[in-house]
Amino acid sequence: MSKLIGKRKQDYLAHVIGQEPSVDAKIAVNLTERLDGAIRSLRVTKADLATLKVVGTGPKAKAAAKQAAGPFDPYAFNAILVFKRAGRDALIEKLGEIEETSHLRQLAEAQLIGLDKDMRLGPVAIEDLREAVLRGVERLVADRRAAAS
Amino acid sequence: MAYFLAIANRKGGVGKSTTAVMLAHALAAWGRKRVLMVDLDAQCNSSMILIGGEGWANARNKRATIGDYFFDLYDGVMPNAKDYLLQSVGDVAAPGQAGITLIPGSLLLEDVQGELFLKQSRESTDADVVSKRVQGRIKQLIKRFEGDFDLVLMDCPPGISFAALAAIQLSQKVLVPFRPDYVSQFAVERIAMLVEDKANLEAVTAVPKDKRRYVTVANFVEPTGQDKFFIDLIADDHPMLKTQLPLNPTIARSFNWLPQKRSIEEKYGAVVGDVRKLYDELAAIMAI
Repeated sequence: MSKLIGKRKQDYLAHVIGQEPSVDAKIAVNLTERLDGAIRSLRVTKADLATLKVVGTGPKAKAAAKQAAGPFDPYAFNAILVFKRAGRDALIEKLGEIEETSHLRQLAEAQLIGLDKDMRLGPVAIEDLREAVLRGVERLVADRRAAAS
Repeated sequence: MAYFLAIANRKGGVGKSTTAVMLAHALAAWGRKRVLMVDLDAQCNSSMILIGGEGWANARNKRATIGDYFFDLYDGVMPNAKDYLLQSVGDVAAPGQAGITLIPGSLLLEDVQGELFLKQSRESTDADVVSKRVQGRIKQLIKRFEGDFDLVLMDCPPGISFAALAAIQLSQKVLVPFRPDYVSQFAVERIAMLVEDKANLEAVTAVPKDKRRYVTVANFVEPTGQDKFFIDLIADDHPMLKTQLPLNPTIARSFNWLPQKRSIEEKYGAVVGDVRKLYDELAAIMAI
């Protein structure tokens, strides 16, 4: 067991709350702050900590740490514009910067990108989710073109 | 030669009338222009804002609305066209000869257009020909006043009528206010296709933005990621003013009509800066 206090405790809480796709980024931050204030210390297993231990090593882990630490902005980039201007590979690359499935789901919901039910709920491989977001964007762009024809 | 500017969007509730009135006040007060406001919307909102409910009811009772004007003058009968104009309207003071003149809106404008269509159809059975003739005649009737004004502002109804089509065809520029939301992007595309006379979005976007006859303006904007998201989407394909009009209760309150004239700063209070930005940017585009 490990005892978490201070910044590590806050990061861990943010990480756990950030896993829940139905909680939006702003509420996640508020919840994290409330829980952080209410809980003096946390005892977690080493297995629970495994995901957080990655934080701090390598660029991907740093990106994950950044996401876990701060609120995720589902409008940080406009997926449709990235796709329209730079194509599907550029969008997949951009989506690759998002390491959390919950964040990808938040982005899809905020930017009205439709996802199939199996992508919206439950465990899913993040690569599959990125592909699903891409398909959703392609559908949106085609839909808009069809409406204006 | 007057400059013709239509405020149009097929979608309702995007702030066409309020934007039109703000511009009319600004053009008269700051731009020292003689502005004719033609209220083509059967809801008559810009008329209510400029002359109040009683003023509008008086115009209706005197048969001096845009519906009466079209109906009475359609066949070329020559009552005095100026009898349909209400001068020095609005509750904002303007210097010298500048000011706003109004052809008040009519609740019956849609019916009147239907009657004009029937009248014209006695001469032709081809619906397209009849539509074009009605539009053409309405266009002539609106154009009739251009000598007396620096600028003719036409507040168009949501949807598309003969009068709205005539206004769009007549205009050097069409200002398209929109709300940053999901359906607005479709609405902007529809009006863009209509103004540019193109069959689809690709054909519209093939025209360079600075060569298009319309320009959009984001209205009711809140400082959220979602509003920015929709504005960015629309701006990617359509010309857009840098000015954004905020969602602000002060703007809504400033449209209460008062019988006394006051300064434009007094009328718009805390949001006068937004009105100024809108005016400055659009005046530069219109080069007036």
